[in-house]
Amino acid sequence: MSSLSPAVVAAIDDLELSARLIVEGLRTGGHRSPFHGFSTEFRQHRPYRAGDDLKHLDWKLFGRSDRLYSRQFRETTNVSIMLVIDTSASMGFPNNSAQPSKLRYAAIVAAALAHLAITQGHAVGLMTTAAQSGVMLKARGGRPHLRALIAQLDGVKADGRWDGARAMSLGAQLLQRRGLMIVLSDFYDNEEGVQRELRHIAQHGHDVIAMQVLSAEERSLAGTAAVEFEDLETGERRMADVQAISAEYAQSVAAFVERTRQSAASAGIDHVLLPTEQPPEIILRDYLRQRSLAGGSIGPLGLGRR
Amino acid sequence: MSWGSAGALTGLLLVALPVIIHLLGKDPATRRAFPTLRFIAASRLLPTRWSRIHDPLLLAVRCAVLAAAVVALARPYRRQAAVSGDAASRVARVVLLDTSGVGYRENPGGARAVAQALVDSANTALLVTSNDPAGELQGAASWLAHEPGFADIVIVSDFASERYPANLPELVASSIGVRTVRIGSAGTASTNVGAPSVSWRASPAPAALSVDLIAAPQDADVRDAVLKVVARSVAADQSGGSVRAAVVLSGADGRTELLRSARAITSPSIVALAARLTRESFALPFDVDVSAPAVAASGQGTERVSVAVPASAVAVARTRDGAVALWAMEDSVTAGPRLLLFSTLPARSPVVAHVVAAVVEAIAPRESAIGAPVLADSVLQSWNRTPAAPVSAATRPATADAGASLARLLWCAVLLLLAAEWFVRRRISVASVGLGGRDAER
Repeated sequence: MSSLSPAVVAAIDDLELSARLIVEGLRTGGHRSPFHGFSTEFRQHRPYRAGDDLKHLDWKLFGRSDRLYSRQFRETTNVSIMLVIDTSASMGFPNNSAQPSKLRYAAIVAAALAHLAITQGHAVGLMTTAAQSGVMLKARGGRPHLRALIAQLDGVKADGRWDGARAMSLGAQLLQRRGLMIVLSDFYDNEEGVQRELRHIAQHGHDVIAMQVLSAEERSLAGTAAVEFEDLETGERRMADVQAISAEYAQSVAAFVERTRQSAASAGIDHVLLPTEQPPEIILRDYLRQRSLAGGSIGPLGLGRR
Repeated sequence: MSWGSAGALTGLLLVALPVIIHLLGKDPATRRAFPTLRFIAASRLLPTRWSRIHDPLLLAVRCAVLAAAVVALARPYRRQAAVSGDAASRVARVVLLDTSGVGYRENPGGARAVAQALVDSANTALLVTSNDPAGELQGAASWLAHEPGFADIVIVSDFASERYPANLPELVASSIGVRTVRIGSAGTASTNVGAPSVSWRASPAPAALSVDLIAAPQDADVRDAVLKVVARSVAADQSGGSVRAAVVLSGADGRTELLRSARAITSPSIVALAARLTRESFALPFDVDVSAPAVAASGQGTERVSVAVPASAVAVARTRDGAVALWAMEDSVTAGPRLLLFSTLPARSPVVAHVVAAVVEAIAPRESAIGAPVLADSVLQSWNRTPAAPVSAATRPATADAGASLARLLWCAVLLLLAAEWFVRRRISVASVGLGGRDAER
């Protein structure tokens, strides 16, 4: 299967379908079935009803009581995963139809990860805090929860500023036990505070993955014309000659990405750069394979605690 | 380069138009939203409303389009091509007229007539009057280099050997023909018949003559004018002042005393000089009335002077009717020998200047006038050469064709520049679109 381009994925309105397509792409990467290792725990018996799967009949109880009972199970989860997504206005870039915005790209990746994790039996939660509203979903498993989570992801809007430190702190609180926190952001806001909070969460035993979403247009400036740039979050404007500043700008952005990566690495945090012009499943597959090879992961695709 | 419509070149002012529009035109707001401004260096910011030149390449191309179009409308053509339609039959000539030699001074009108005839026989010609024709050769050759057709240089001179280098033909390109035309009778005895034609040439004033001109006080202006004419018409005294003479005009101060003290010519040098003057035999071609008594100025008034010629005097010049107009005697008062020439001509007669000039020429002749060496005819013949064939007419485009060809080239350049302008504009637009802004169409 060929990878789906970001433009194609973005064109699919159904976020769940997009996530499923990406996960299917991940599965064709020569990995073992992601459903291996799924475990269930017996919960109770209930009287058999026509249509129940015969494999769930408790034949031993039928032999003792001569009545048909079906066994009911409770799904068990391996790891609690919290997805923290930056919904600030800067994530709404680029706002043209040719490419998905960074927020849409982050939502697609988050949905794919949630789909993958939940089908592997993990619990997934969601945390977005924005200026006006936020979404907080505790980490849970099951397909109904997956659908609810994807629905929430589908509705997030880029607006205002993002208090990343607070969002991650709340997300860590929602993880009742030690788990995995995946942060999708451009990490523009409050760089120092966000990095400090990431290190703080990692020090408390949580596994943290920092996924930095950046578009090609903001990693390097193209063109020769003069442009009046307007900050999406503050509204500040600056007129600059793109040709004159492009080299210096590219160096500054590269230095910022490298600084973020090194800060994360120093705290044992994985840093993944998500260029929005590249297919998400390829980036995820490479990263998950690398994470799986690093050892200690739970689950065939590397999700879970190392 | 010449122009068919030079006035059209004023259209070059249009080149300023795109520059003005470029500078005055408001930049169409290339505003676009951006995630963060933290990486946009404040040191490289531009003013919101700017007046500097941006997209200089596009501006330069647009200016070039206008300039090329204007120049094409001015219909340029090469000047050389404009006159070369029948180059094979054309003759371009420079005539160098030597005015320094005695040959010219003997008969300047004739020399000029010869030179003018040479000028008239060429299609394009230049007459150069100079006292140093050899020095004018380079300039003549340069002028001929830009003229179509056969090119030759004609030197009209008496060819005194001192003024011409032996390798004269080598001073000009071999493709240029050289012709020599000798004038005058240089090298032979000059008859000095007739009044010398005096021309005011811009030659250095000769050294002081050893010939005095004695005139009445009221004729001082005449004397000065005569001396001026003589100084300019006769070359410097070559005798180094050894021959001393004085022309005493009628009415001059002390004329009577000079006449009284003058004696017959006896000194050898004065005898030789008088003999030469006699041999020259001035025959004045003018009707001069020498019978009228001259008037000499004195302290209280005027004094009539006798014009009787002493018996010991030697007649030097006579009028047409045989009257003596100038006679020679020797001064017995001065320490050295001095020739005294008494004139019966009225001081204010226009003939005086000519007579004095002729006398001075005779008694203080220049070297050339008394047989200065001149170049032999064989030498002149060796100098003569015919001009090389001009560039073929076939290789010289006609004026109209040449102009049209240049104009066509310029219009092609305009089209190419327009294509370049479109390409540059498109590149800028693509770059702007690549930036993702709304500034695609500028």
